[in-house]
Amino acid sequence: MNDISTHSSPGRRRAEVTGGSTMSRGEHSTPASIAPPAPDVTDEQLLSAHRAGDRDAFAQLVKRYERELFLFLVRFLGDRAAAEDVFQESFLQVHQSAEQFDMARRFRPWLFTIAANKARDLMRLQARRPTAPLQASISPGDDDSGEYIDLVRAASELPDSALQTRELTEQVQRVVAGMPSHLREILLLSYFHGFAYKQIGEILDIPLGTVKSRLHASVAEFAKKWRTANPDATLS
Amino acid sequence: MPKLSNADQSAIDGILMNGQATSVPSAAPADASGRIESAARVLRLLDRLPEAEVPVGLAERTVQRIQKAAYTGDTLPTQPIVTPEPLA
Repeated sequence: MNDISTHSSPGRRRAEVTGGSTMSRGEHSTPASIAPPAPDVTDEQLLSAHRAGDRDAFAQLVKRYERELFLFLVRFLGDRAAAEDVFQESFLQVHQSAEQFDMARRFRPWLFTIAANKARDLMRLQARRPTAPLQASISPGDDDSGEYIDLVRAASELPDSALQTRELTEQVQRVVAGMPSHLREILLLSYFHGFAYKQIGEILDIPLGTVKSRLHASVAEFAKKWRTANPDATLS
Repeated sequence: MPKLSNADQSAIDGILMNGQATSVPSAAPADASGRIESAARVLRLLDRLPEAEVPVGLAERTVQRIQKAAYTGDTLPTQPIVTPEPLA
């Protein structure tokens, strides 16, 4: 397994990371910062460099995805501490599986595959504990209607975007958090992370047809839950 | 589970299928454009989700944790990278 290191500046002054204590959740030491990689270096090139023994390459890969992957995880899991744990475990898995990565493929979908799997594993584990309401619905029992949602009508009921900003934000948060996890997951991957349907199929290990049907169900669920949560929505 | 009409499904696909959500594809027929714009308005509600602040030093702590695992020989539980599971 390759060593990896952090360094404090692009001047490549290394601060060797030794086997010191691992930070527990919420602890913030001040480890040397990782210099971001040059934007013209691809993920696959960084992973290849890591496999070839470049000690900075892996740290730069982690840095590159620090924001995007954490945002996905915190929105999917609804918990910052859990998101950080899964983020770390995902990159640990990437590190341990780097030699098996097919360099003909893209790194980003692979990373999200690992992270989504680990997030789901955690949710399943938490679901077995009675005190972890990760998938609590805002409207229990309202998901069995099978009714058609008309997006033109739903859009006509949206409030003026300039109004009630904080309330609207909280409402959207509650609606998204109340969606079944598999519908929330695919909506996040598609809308926020811009994965094409084909890539989503690879990440979730599902056929293209299932990607489509699940994403359609996700949008319908989102629109329905939003309407349910906003029965007095006014025309814009 | 609520459903979308075929027209709304096509509108969603027009926006999201190729990644990087756009508003209204310029090639969309006029009658479809209105539906796509409505679908896009619904999706844009998601932009209201706040951007969570990334914990300070997350990348650095991650590297530390991996380095420690390398030193101590810790490994993850044996599991496939892609976990097959029924989700639907």
